[in-house]
Amino acid sequence: MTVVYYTLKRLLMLGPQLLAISLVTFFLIRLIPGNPAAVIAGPLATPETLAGIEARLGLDKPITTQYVIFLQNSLHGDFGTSWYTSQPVLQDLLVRAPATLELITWSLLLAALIGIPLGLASALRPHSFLSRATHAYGLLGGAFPDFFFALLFIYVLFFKLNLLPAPMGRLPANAVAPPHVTGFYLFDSAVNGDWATFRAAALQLIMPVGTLAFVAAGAIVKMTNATVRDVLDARFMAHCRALGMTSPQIARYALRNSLSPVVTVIANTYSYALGGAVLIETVFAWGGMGQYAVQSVLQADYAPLQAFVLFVAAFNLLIYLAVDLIYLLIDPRVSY
Amino acid sequence: MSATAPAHPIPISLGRRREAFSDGARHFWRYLRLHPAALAAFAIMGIELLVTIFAPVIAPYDPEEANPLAVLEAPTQAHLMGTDDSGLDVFSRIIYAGRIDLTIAVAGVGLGMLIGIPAGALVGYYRGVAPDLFMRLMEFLQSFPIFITAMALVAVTGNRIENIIYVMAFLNLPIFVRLVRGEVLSLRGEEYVEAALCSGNSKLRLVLRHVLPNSISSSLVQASVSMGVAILLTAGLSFIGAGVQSPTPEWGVMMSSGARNMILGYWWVSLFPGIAIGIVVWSLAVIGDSLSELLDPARRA
Repeated sequence: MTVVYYTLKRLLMLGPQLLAISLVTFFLIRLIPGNPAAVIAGPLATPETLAGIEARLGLDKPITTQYVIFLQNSLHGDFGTSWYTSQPVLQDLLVRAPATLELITWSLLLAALIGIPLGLASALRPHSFLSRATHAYGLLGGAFPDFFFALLFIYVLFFKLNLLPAPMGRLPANAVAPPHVTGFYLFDSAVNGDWATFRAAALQLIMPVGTLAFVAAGAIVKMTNATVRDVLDARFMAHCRALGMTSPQIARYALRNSLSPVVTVIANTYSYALGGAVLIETVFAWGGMGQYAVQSVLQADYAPLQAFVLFVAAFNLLIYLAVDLIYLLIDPRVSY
Repeated sequence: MSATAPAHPIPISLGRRREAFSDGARHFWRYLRLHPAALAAFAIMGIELLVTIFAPVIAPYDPEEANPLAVLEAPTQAHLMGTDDSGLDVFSRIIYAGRIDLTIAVAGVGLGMLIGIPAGALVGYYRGVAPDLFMRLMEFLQSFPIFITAMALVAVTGNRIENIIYVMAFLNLPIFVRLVRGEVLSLRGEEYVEAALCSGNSKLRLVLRHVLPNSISSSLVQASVSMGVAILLTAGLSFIGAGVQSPTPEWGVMMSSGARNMILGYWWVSLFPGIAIGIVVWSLAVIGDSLSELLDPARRA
């Protein structure tokens, strides 16, 4: 019962939190010196053109009025129109969301699958070769840009070995997207029994997912390693050893007690992956929200950018809510 | 303190300072001998600084002058790291790029520290509603994915180099505010702080003279890491076309111009600048690690 109550309470708090986010995002972007109308109009625009664009964007009204209008519109699901695609921003984002979410979800699963066991193993054997190798991996993975690994994968796996199809988009040029169920191509094609498309989509996924997972796993390894080490140094672990427990038993207890911080890292990684997706989508012409955001940045397309930032913030809130609920399940010491 | 010392203030303080310095240098050298990775990192950054300063002497070509007769040439003796798709010499550009990337990193992080450290000290020492609100805002700013924030800010301010520096400073502000605030919170209970307060120091003087210097070492550690992140962010921004613009030599821009041709097998255009970023950011991370051990008096033996 308390879990249900707590969840409801947290869901109710989402409203004010989103309001705060919209407030800060809106005013931060507006308070920055720099005039979006001037960026759109270009350096050669006449004052009249500039005034016209300002009026069209509503920038000539007082800033508080602008915010109220923005809020009212957002509540109706109207985040403005992208002047580049001439589509409503919400529609643009919704069409592209599944591509990005499919990408980062698979990346995260893979990263956790690599990162947690590696981190645990290297913490249990602190001076082994494996431990040194994972340490180096953590440092190197964090030192290079994500897109560096992406480009390496493209060169080796596509150009040299020709193991994978051309890294352009979610499906090869001759394939047709599966009928829309969720927008996740793997799921949709599997539901439809279309295994040829499933295979094609999976092959396209390998490189971008591999890149994001490779980088994200570095962070997960580091954090898992540090947490498990702390737990192993704790007094209750010394007690376990004094009782003569075997190392598999000790490893199990250590992991169990490290789970909460590790879940936090995975959550952080999820929101980090959303940022990383912006770069990776550009490399692989993925056509998701990240690429849409890049496009709006390059075109000085204001409305989509603001909506994207809001979406990311809301997504983060939901992730952290999920983390708190998972805590409740995995950590008996936590109660609300 | 030394200003009030009565007899022979100058020779004594100079002598002591020299002694403290050589002591520190010996400690530093011993640490480097025991930690080859740290030695490598400091050496790499030293070399990188020299290369950056003497770029015109070292670089064989003008970094912005394209040679249309040498487009996408593989690495040879004439072009050590090949040329890109407009005939620019990759090696020369990598050398000059350090100027832009390191300037952005140092200036951006430095500016963030200049504002963030005093702000953090004040927020840490004074209690009240305003500091609390300020901290909430800082935490809030940090909750956004950093690359997306950077991208949005550069987009709104316009992608000139000085704006990228301001954005890096802005992104680092909450990091330093929170770091120094935490240090100050833990230091304010220390005995020497209470002693300073009892001997009649004003609160502001107490924060600036006694608490702040003691919280500076963790800021230096963070600065090293932050500079690495700033280089990665700058490269990322330039890579998607929202940062430094071609033909200005910058590592991210260079990778971006090579990315188009990677699929056709022209690996050198992107690979070398990528390695440059990796080496520099790795060194900065290792230097950060070493500083945290070197500046910790408890570890000093």
